[in-house]
Amino acid sequence: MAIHIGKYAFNSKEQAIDKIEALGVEQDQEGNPHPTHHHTVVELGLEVLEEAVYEDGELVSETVFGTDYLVDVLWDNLEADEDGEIDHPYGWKTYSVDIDTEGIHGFLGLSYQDLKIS
Amino acid sequence: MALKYLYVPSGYKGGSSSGTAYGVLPNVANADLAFVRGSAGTRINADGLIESMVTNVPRLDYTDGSCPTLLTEPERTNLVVNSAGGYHPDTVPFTNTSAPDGTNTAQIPTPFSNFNRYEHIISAGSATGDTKLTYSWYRKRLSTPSIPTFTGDLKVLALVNCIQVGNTIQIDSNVGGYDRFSATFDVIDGSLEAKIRLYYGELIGVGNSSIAYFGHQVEVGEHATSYIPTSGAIETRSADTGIVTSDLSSYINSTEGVLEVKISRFEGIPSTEQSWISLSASETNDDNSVSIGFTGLNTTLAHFIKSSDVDVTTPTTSQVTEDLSQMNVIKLKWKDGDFQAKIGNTTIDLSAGAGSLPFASTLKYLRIGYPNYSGGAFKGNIQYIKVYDSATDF
Repeated sequence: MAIHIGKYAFNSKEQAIDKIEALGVEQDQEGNPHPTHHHTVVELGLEVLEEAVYEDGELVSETVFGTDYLVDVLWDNLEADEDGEIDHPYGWKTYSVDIDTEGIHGFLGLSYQDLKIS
Repeated sequence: MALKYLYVPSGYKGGSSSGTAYGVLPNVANADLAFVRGSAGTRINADGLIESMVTNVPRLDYTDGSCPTLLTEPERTNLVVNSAGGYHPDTVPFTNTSAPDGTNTAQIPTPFSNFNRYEHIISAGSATGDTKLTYSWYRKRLSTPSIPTFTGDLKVLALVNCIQVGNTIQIDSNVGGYDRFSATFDVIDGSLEAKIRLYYGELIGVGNSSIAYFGHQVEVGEHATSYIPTSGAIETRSADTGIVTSDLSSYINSTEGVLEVKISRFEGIPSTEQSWISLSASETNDDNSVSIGFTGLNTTLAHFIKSSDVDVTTPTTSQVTEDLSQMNVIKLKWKDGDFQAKIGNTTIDLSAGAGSLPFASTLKYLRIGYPNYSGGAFKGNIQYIKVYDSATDF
């Protein structure tokens, strides 16, 4: 399978950005960063522990955020190890999460359960 | 003297690691374009309906009529959790009707209040200040609403911590009987919650049922992209990338020639990105290359000819009066001492730059993008690409 999906919970946004940039980033003449890979990286932001509650359009309680910074990645052509197994890229496995549902975010037309790295 | 390469959107196939968009001329495998898109993506098919195309399948889009174009877009996420019906903060009664994707999931709401609306909430802290978001939707009138004067039959009102940028605009017409509209919003303070509100209650009238809505989409950016269906979770469509032929050096004349394209520019190209179609000697650098492209501005045409990593012509960009978001025929001619670009019937004379021809290495690859710059992936629609082997074909 050429594509895989990973879900990750990093300790902070800064840590997530460091990991994402380590995948490969180039800068154009104006210094704007652009990825050098074909992976699709989606930053979902801080984990939502409790959704905001509204009654009759009025805010009753605000969203409660956790401290984990969530990132979903659609991996393109990860290299297999010597045993032919596909694993998370170096430095990502520690922060991977395995859930039993499709989660709060998906990649169009693809199933996380079918494509997650096991 | 002769057309040596031709790409016209026609045949295509998917694949596990990459798909293929078949070239027309020459009739060899090297003329085919590899194609990568990690996720599915939607297009308007030949029947005028929204259709989902799976991973790595090029999207031949029929939005503008019977001749398809190759549609390439940047990555986008639809932040509406249930796109068919959108989010109503009130439990408004509705009936389902046929949608432009062939399902029976479009909704005809029957307002019980003038204040019934669609809404999208941007949580505090999830956006930065000055983040632009675009809300798009499909609409079909079953009958004339009580107030018919609002574009898209939704009234932007009572925004919280955001402002509308420009006006609501129509961006597509007659997609399965629906028209598509978009409105762009600017979040003022990203540390606070923001709300986009689009009201239909007053426009339809309490107790009436005159409008069907479908395909609600909120995406970060100043322009809507193709529809991204969601059902229970937000969804991401990957970017179309890696679109490049194999070695065509036997067909491309590196001494002289013309690159001709008929393309339109996706208006939402960020100011930090560009959009290119290029011929190059290398798959990984632009040292010897011929490129036509767009920048973040809708009036700037870019035209690069580089030899040994030095610009052969000057200027490398031109301000044009044509609307680059519409289909234009654009040409770029290379021959030592004879350089010109053309858009429509307007010729742009180019002076010799510091570099010179012949190219230090033979031109080999046609790329829908830029050789060493992922931010230069082409974003827009392509009707054809032609490469001629003589400057006289200009």
